[in-house]
Amino acid sequence: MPTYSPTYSSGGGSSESLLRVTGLCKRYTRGSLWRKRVAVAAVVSADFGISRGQTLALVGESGSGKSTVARCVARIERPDAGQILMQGADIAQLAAAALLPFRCRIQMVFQDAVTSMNPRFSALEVIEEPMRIRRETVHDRRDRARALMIEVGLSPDWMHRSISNFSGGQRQRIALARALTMRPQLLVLDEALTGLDVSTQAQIANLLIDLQAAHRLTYLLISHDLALVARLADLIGVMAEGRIVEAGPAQQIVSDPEHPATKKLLASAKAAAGKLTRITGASL
Amino acid sequence: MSYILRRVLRAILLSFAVSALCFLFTEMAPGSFFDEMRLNPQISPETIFALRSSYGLDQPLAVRYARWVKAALHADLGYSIAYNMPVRPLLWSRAKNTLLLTVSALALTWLISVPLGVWAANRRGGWVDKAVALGSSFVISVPELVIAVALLALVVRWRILPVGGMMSADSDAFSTLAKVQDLARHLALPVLILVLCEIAIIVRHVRASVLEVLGATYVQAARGLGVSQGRLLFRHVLPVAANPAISLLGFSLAGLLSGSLIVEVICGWPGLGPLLLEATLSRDLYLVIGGIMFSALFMIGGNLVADIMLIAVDPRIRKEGADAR
Repeated sequence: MPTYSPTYSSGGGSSESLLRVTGLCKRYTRGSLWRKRVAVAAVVSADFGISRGQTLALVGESGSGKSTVARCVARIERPDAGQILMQGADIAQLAAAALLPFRCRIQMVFQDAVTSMNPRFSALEVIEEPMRIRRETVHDRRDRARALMIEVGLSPDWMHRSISNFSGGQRQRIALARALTMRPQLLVLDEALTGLDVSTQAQIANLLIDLQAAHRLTYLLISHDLALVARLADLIGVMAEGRIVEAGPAQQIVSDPEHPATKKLLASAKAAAGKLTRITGASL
Repeated sequence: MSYILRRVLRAILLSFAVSALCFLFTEMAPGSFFDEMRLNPQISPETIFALRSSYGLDQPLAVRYARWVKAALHADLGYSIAYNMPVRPLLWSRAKNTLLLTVSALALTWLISVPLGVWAANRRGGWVDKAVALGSSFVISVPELVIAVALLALVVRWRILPVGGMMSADSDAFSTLAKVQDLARHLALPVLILVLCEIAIIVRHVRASVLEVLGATYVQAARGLGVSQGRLLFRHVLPVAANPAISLLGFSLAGLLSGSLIVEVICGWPGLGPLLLEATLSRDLYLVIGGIMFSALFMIGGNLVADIMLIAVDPRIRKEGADAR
């Protein structure tokens, strides 16, 4: 099966390469003390690159390996093989200490904002956690948390509220604020818009666009929803069975799909076209 | 605060329920202390009747229970027929020893099982984890009685620890430090048996709780932020994983207490176990009820402490309490 290696210069961003992933491979082993251990390949081989200020969306069905790619890029998982070049430096196999400077540059926002935050923490504690690692002063942490809460559209008066008192959309905003505290260059958004109601999805999508423009952020957007990413992404990579089977500029993928997996995703998206039009304004 | 009040109220109601059931079951049990007396031709039926009256046993169950509750509220647990003395001092002299045994075993069990469970979970699939899984499976599958008798046999054969009683016969001549050492040596075997019987379950629960939290998305998110392993464990994982473990504290106390009653009999530890056994065999009614009530109150108290600890470590429970108001 051929793999596609999208390095794009479409859209409005510059061509300054931020991230390049080559030959990424990740296997998980299943088994127990009594059962034979079996390796299951989540990602067979993934190659792609993103330029500064742009958005690459990886789409695919559940189990296609897109979230594993995201977790490897954010180095929550260590890949078994391949390179993850962040501005030329390979972070794929770096140990925790050596990885720390790169953590600031790559941040991840998870699908489920409810479970992606410590349930015992307040909004302030969640947002300032990354700053604690960098040993910033209490005063600096408070000021930055306050500014970030305003930026993501939350009242700073709520910063001492327990995280359990926020709605799903508000928590996703807090998750974005937490990710921004490190002043990252790349945000990995793993199904960050999934599970939200239609209106909240649209609000968060708009917020992502605003934040990208304000901070010149680069997004690696993971989604199973091709129509939803059509508005946000400059480039789309379609994943199936652990490989990128088709990639190209977003409009090209949506208007002229080649691979059966892409066509299947588009068919699913068109089935929910009414909903998608309301969310994204995109027509397929 | 309302949460604590609710728990205290529940504990009080539970104590009354246990005492009522205790009375009911002892009434339903066949035979009484005076049955053996009836076989003795030298004791007339009138004497036995008079004795029964003097202990209030000729009254209906409800009347006896009401009298007992009224007296118990004034710390009077009745009168032992076999020992011919009040139940409270009799129980207390033995309960102190049971408390010493149970609390020592409880502390040791948790001091070992919590770090071991956390270590096994943190190194999932490693040799410690596999050893814990294998060892705990073995201990759980062997009956407590077999473990107790096997350890007793080993100790007696190798003569590494004294067996029976709390102190050596010549302990009066010992210095204070030597007395403490002597007590510790006598305490070691029953504590070891109790710890071994209880530790496997606690380690498994702690391991499972920590593993569940380690797999949570927020822990992965914290890893992605670059949170150090120490902070991850102590700030993010353990406070959340502590909830089920603290809830287990009450159950472990119950397990250790019921286990201690058996272990005391096997090891000859002068606690409530042997006393309750004798009292049950001789149908010493109020002593049996007093012993069971003491054990029940200890367990209820332990669960209450666990509930209060839960409030201390989990702000969400405090919030639930406030919401309920």
